[in-house]
This record gives sequence, C-alpha cells and structure tokens, in this order.
Amino acid sequence: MARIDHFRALFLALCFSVIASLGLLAQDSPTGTPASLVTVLTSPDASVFEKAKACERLAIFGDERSVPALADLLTDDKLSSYARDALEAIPGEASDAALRDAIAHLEGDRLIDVLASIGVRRDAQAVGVIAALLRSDDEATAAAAARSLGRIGSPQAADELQKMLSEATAGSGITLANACMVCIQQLAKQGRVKDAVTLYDAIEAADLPASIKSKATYNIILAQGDDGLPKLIELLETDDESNFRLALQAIRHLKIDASPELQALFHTVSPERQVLLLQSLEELGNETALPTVMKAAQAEDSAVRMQAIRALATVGNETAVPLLLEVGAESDEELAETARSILAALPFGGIDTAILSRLTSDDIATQQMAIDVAAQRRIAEASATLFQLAASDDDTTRKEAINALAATVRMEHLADFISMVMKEQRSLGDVAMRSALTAACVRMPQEGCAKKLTVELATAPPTAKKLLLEQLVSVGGATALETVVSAARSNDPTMQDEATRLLGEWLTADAAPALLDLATMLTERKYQIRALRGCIRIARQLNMTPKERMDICRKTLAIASRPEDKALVLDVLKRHPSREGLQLAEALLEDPELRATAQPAIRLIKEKVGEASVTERGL
Amino acid sequence: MTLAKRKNQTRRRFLTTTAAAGAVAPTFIPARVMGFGGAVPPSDMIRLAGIGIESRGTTVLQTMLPHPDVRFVAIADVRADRRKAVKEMADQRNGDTQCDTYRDFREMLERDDIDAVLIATGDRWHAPASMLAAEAGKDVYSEKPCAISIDLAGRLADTIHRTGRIFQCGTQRRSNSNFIHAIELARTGKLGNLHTLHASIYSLRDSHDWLPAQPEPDPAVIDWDMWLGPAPWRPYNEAYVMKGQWRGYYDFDSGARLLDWGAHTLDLCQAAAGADGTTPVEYEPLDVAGDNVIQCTYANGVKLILRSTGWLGLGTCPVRFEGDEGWVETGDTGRIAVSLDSLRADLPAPTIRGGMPTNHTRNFLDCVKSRGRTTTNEDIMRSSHIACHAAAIAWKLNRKLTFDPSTEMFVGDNEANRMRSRAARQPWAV
Repeated sequence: MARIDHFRALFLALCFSVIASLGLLAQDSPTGTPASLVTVLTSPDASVFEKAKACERLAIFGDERSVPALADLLTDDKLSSYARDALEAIPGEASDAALRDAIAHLEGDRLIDVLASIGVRRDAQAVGVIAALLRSDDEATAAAAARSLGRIGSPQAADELQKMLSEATAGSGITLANACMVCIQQLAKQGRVKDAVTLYDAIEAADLPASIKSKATYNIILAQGDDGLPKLIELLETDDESNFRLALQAIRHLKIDASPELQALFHTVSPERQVLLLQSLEELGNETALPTVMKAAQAEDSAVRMQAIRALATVGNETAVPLLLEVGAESDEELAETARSILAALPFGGIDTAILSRLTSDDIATQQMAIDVAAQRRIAEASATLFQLAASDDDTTRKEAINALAATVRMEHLADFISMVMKEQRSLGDVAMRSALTAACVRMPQEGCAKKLTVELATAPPTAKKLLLEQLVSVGGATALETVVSAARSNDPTMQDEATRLLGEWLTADAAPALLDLATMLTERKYQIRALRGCIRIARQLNMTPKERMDICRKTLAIASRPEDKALVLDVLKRHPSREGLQLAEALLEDPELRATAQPAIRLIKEKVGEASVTERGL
Repeated sequence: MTLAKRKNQTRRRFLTTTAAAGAVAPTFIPARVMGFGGAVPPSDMIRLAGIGIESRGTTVLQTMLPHPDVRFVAIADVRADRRKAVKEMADQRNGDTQCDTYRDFREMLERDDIDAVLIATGDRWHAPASMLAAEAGKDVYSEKPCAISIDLAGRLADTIHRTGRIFQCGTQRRSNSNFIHAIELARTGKLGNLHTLHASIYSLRDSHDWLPAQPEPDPAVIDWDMWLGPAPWRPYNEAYVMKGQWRGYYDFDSGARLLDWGAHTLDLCQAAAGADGTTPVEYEPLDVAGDNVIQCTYANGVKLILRSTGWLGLGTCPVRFEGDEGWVETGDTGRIAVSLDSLRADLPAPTIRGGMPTNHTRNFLDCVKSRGRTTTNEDIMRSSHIACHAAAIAWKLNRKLTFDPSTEMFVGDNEANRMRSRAARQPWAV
C-alpha cells in the first residue's frame, strides 16, 4: 500500500511538472521535454485532460521519439484528434509511417481520421495503400480515401483517381469527381498542369452529371491560365447557359481583359446574357467598350439599361455625361440614383459646369438631380444658388438645398449656414438639421469652425445652444474645448448639463485638466461626478504617454471620494500596468472599502509588469 | 484571338467602385440569368438558409430579411431554442410557418432549393461549414473569423475557387463609409507616403483549460457533439454553449482572440496599404507593459502595429493610417479624426455604426445574383486572416517571425510552421 502511495505521489509530482510546463499554471514558463510528455501519454493514471494537453504541446515541440505513443492514441475516440494534431505536425518519416501503418489496424471514423491526416501531410508513399480503399464497401471510407488522394495531389494519386472514374457509380462518381478537382487544384499549384489536364479529360469522358463536368471545365480553365483561353472562348460562344456563366466567372478570376471579345458577342446574345456581359465589361473597365455600353444604356430592357449605366462608372468618358445627366432626372428612382452616383464619381470637370447650369432648371426633376449631384461632388460654386433654393417655400426643395449646402458650403458662409439651420430646426426637424450641420462642420478647418460656432453660441436661442455645443464636440480642437468648458462653468443649468455630458465624450486627452478642474469647482454633485468620470475615461481609453496617464490617475485619486470612482481608477491602472501604477494601487490597500478590489488588481499588475520574462504564451 | 492580362486597378476605378459601394442602390438583375453550374434559382428570390444563428447572426440576418428578393427558408442549429427563435423570426417575415429547422446542417445542405447560407456559429465551425456549403453548391456569407488557422484560411479560399461559389467574409467595416473614406485618404496619397498603419485588437488570451464536466444534455435540446464539431473532444459545460464562454479557448477561438477585432482592423489596414493578396513579411511582439503590441512589416517597409490601447475615443475597432504628410483615425462611431484641415474638406458625416452590416450583406446578395466578386471575397479574407494568425503565432511564441506570403509559411521557424494548422475531429476533416 505504502509503495502504491509512493508511486502515486511520484506520478502526481510528474504530472504537476508537466502541467506547469504546459503553461496551464499562470505565467509558468514551459520546461517539459518531449520525453516527459510521452511519459504522460503512456501513463495509465494520467487523465484524458493531461494526455490531451501533452498532445497539444507535442504538436509543437514533439519529435520522432514521440510518435509511437501518439500513434497508440489513434484508436481512442476522445484523444484521437489530439494525437493526430501532433502527428500531422511532427516532421519526418516516422509520423508518415505511423499513419500509414495505422490504416491496417483501424476502421470506421478512426480510419477516416487517419486518411484525413495523411491527406494533410500529402504523403505520396501512402497512395497505394489508400487507393486500395477506394473500393471499400464502406462508402464513407471510400469517400475519405478519395479525398485523401485528392489532397495528396501527386501524379500517382491522380492516376489512381482516374482509374476509379471509369468504375464509378452514380453515387460515388460525384464524390470521386470532387476529389479529382481537389487533385487538379493541387497539381496546378505544383505546376503539373499536364497531369491536371489528363485528369480533367478523364472526368469529361466519365459518366457524370453535366453540372459536375461544368465545374471540372471551370477548374481546368483556372488551372491552365492563358493556355485555357481557347476553351474559355468556346464556352463564351456556347448555347449552354451555365457554361456561358462559367466563362465569365473564369474571366473574373483570371483577370483577363476580354473586352473586345465580349463586345463582339454582345449584339448576338439575349438580354439576359447582355446583362452579364455588361457586368464583365464594367469590371474590366476598358474604355473601348464605351460605344457598346452607351447603346445598351438606351435599350428597352430595363435590366440591360441599368447595368449599362453602372458600367459607365468604369468605361465612361466625357461623351457619356449628357446621357447620365438625362437619366439622372428620370422618374425611375433606382436608375436615376445610379446615374447620379456615377456622375458624382466621374473625374471630368465639365460635369460641374453642367450641374451648375441645371440648378436653376424649371424642370423639377432636373433641378433635384443637380442639387443631389452638386452635393455628392461637393461643388462649392453651387453654394450661392443653393442658398437661394434654401429659401424656397417648398419644404422638399428647402431641405434638399440645405443638405446639399452641408456638403458644399465654404467657411466664409458657414455663419449664414448655421443661422439657416437654427432657423429651420422647427420646420424641417431637429434630427435632419443636426445631421446637416454636423456634415458641414466636420469638413471645415477646425479652429475657424470652432470660433464661428462659439460666436453663434453666445447669441443663440436656448433651443439652439445644445445643437451648437454638439457640433463643437464633432469639430474638436482647443477653441472648441475652451468653449464647452466655459459652458460647463456657466450658471445656466441646461448648458452645464449638456457641456459636462459632452466633455465625457471628448476625443482627445487635452480635456483631462479641464475635467479635473470642473470636478472640484462645480457645485452640483452630479456634475462633479460626471467630470471626474470623464477624466477617468480619458485615462482609461485615450492615447497619451504613460507619465501623463499616471499623472491623471494620481490627481483623480486625490480628489475622488467615492469608492466606486476609485475602483474605476484601479481599473485604469490594471489596464495600463506600470511600476508607478502599482505603487498607486498598493496605496489603496489602506482603504478598507477598496482592499478587496485592490488585491486582485495589484496581483494582475505585478504579473503584467513582470511579463517580459515570459518566453511563450498559452502553449 | 489574343487576350491580354488586365491592367492594374486605376485610381478612378477604385474611387468609382468604392463610391458605388456606399451610394448606389443594388442592381436588380433577373435571377433567371444568374447562377452557376446549373444552380439557377427558381425565381428572382434568393433562397437563404442559416447555420448557427445566435446574437451576431441575428444582427446580420436582420439586415438580410427586409430585402424583397430574400426568402429565409431554413435554419440549422445544434440548439433547439435557437432553431425555434430563428424560425419564428423568419416565419414572421415570410408570413407563413414554412421555415424548416434542422439539427444537422448537412441535411439542410442536401436541399437543392437553397441558394445561399449565412454561417454565424463559433470560429471552430466557420471554415468547415463554409467549405461543406460550397461543395453543396451554396453561396456563403460567413461571420468572421472565417478560419481558425492559416491552413484553413487557405483551404477555404481554395474551396471557394474550386466550387465557383460566391463568398463574403463578415468584415462589414470595409463597406461602411467612414472606413472607406479613411482607406481612400491612404490609397490616394492624401496622407503622403504611407509609413505606419495601426489596427486595434483585443487583449490577447489563449487558454488551454477545460471547464468542469457537466452531464451532457439531450442532443435534441443541445447537440454537444455537433456543437464541438471539428474541435477536439472535451467534456460538456453549458457555459460554452449558452453563455458564449468558448471565447479565449485555444480549441474554439482564433489566434488567442486576435482575430475577434483583428479580422476587421488588420483587414482595413490591408486595404489602406493596397496589400490585398499579400501579407506582412515580419511579425514582432514588442515588450510593452499592459498591452499586446505586435509590429508587422510589409515587404516595402510599411509598418502595421497591432495594439489594444492608446486610441482616440472614436469607438470600438479603431484604425489609424499615418503618412509623411498626415494621418487619419476612425472607429465604430463613424466619426473620423484627421491631422490637417486640408484632410477635413471631404469628410463624410457619421452615418452608420461599425457593427452594422447593412451595405455588406446587400453587396453579398447582389453578387449572389450577378456572380461578381464581393467586397471581402475569399482572397481578401485569405490574406488578412493569414496575417492575423501569423501575428498571433508570433505573440504566442514571443519572438520575431519572418513569413513568406507566397508559400504561406514561416521562414526558418519549424515551431511556428507547426502552428499553421490544426487537426479536425471526424467527420469534419473537409
């Protein structure tokens, strides 16, 4: 009995050292050797967990001496995949041989396991023994054998798959053909295109569904690259719909400029095919396709027309602009919107002139098109007219003009725009006007914009002050910060409330000193806490030097009175560990209300600060 | 007939296509002309199904359901309560009771009347479920992280290529106007020569523990074996399933949580650097107390800094792009901060919060119809996910690693290379 206890104690000690070596104990550096890990694998007393972890480690550090113990686990339902993980990874002949040898002793899922692993290792020596399994009575085994040969992807593997194709049944044929296509892909990667073509020819000759043969054709075109072009051209000219689509898909993948050939076909095919050809022409972006595309843009078939308009984005030049201007004002909203977005993106200066002249068009649709495109192109010269349109009696025109101004107005007219937005808040809606003002402000030079907003804030009606304060946050910078801090210090409770809230969202760390100051000088408790928490957020999230961060933490702790606020500072120290932060955290141990929170935080900071000695992580 | 390789994307093309992404209404193209390999939808309606729809999946689904060209027809989930909740949501939208429920998504994928699937399980399932769906002829919108390892990210992209399916990675920030604008500033030279990109990440954690074992529930209520799926076996604990506490565990999470935000933010940096299709070549964890800072370097010398702290208060998922003439920073509030007044001239007002995938899901639906390439297609996912995983491996090994984007292998570091893949539990080794 004593002896058994002795052995058990020795074994547990060994397990402990191995588990420690696995990195399962926090931050312990791994020291276990492959030999000690193999001892765990062969021990009858080691748990499944311990063996699994030993396998994981052997997958990275194991060697050929580890292979026999790993191979013994291939029959184990729970540990087989762990063992395979290591066997797939360990370099050298021993793993290959072990997996090959295992084929003779395994069946069912465990055999399928091993066939997959051999495929992963692409062990060409296993081709013969795996090929024998292609004729297995067990369908799953035969399918796994085919997949494995496909992944091995050697000429010999291709030969074996090819031989089987002639014997394939309706069921097995598809599995086999799919394995052949994996093999074609592997052969092509090795530059063995000739072998790939031979295998493809066998698929073509086999009794297989047309859809499978189509897939094979697609694959061989991809494998052959330029040499596959004749087949691609044949497919383009075929009556078979799926093959036609295959050819276009191959063009996409091979990145071939087939614009002339696609154009030559265009007028001979159905509208459905024309849509597909236009998509390809758009992707190819060759301007020689423009005449074909322009003609198609005036077709009767709506799908053809829509796709032609889209294609102008890449093949269009100045000559396409009049057509796009016309379509952009059509009643078909989808078509018009597409044309406008193309007008917005095309790099031709003449478009701006054309749009400016249409802003005052009597035709409402043309005018709306012009407003929309002026906004999308950010045509600053449109602002004067847009200001006039923004004074329209018609709500829709007014709203569209204000939205367009948000994208086009320049700094010198920003004050007018702000006034206009404030005036329209009630009639056109608070949300819409806020969005418009934000869209304008984020584009402006930072300081200039902040100064304008500050000036407007001074005289704005109470209902607009919140709107303007929000813009200052979007704009940012020194002036904006100063203005919002002033608002927080004001005697106006609405301003104080809004400004302290907004300071809590400030994007840059320069708000921290002001927030610290507000946390002590504001009289309302709610705002003091808000300012303090805003400061902690900055220390927690924003970019600054470690010294600056510690400075904020120290000052925040000095004025924080509530344990929950101090705990938030502790969280900052934990998130950004440093030796100085450790001292700050340790000082909090003296606070009985914080001791329980501080202890684990301190432990974590110590670990992180000392982390430089870690050689590997989580292994 | 001579066909020349297409020229590189021009600035104009970038501007017009990104503008269109944010502004142009989706193109309606009759579904009769779309499809692949004979999988032409029976009507103009996209018949959508879901795999593993909980809170995030619900947010995504809610941006898809209102579209008149979408009908949600089936939900597969290992949890009975989620099957019921999603069915109720779909039935309410459809005005009937015909949304079907499945415990095993493989049965659902056998249906030939489903065009596309939304996959929003946990990380462990995203790639295998996406690959099986693609093999079954379905287009895929997968929540991120889409793959739990470097190897799986590559194989998922290969599978999408091979099957000719449409794939959208749920990194919706690429479709949101504030991030698009920041990327445009970087790409069009308005920041000068780009030298440093910054991407926010979670604080990293990689636990190999197991929670205490609890009795396994009735599989009809919670199918634990199916929940584990390709992850290695471990005993059941309801916290994994019901409380989302699978995060941070090596078996279930991606890159020690680096991909939770990194799949978004590093991806945005890739776009800003014009680095889609490649990755940084060096990854170096820096010794910064209290933060997990990883410095990545592209072949052209541009730095990419992954860090969790020290941002302006612009919301979650912030990114910052710095050139020798200016910088821009933005985050999930939609607000954009810039260094110079000259950069403010074209700033858009905040319109959409970072978590909302409204534009992104519409882009996916459009591409399901057009067979075009999505905003964050499989190739974009591949390079950004691989870069994230490479950074996480550097952090785990706590050493500088060199990476070859062409082979997707680390250079001269066997241990790092052995961390590129994970074995999948059967029958999920797709």
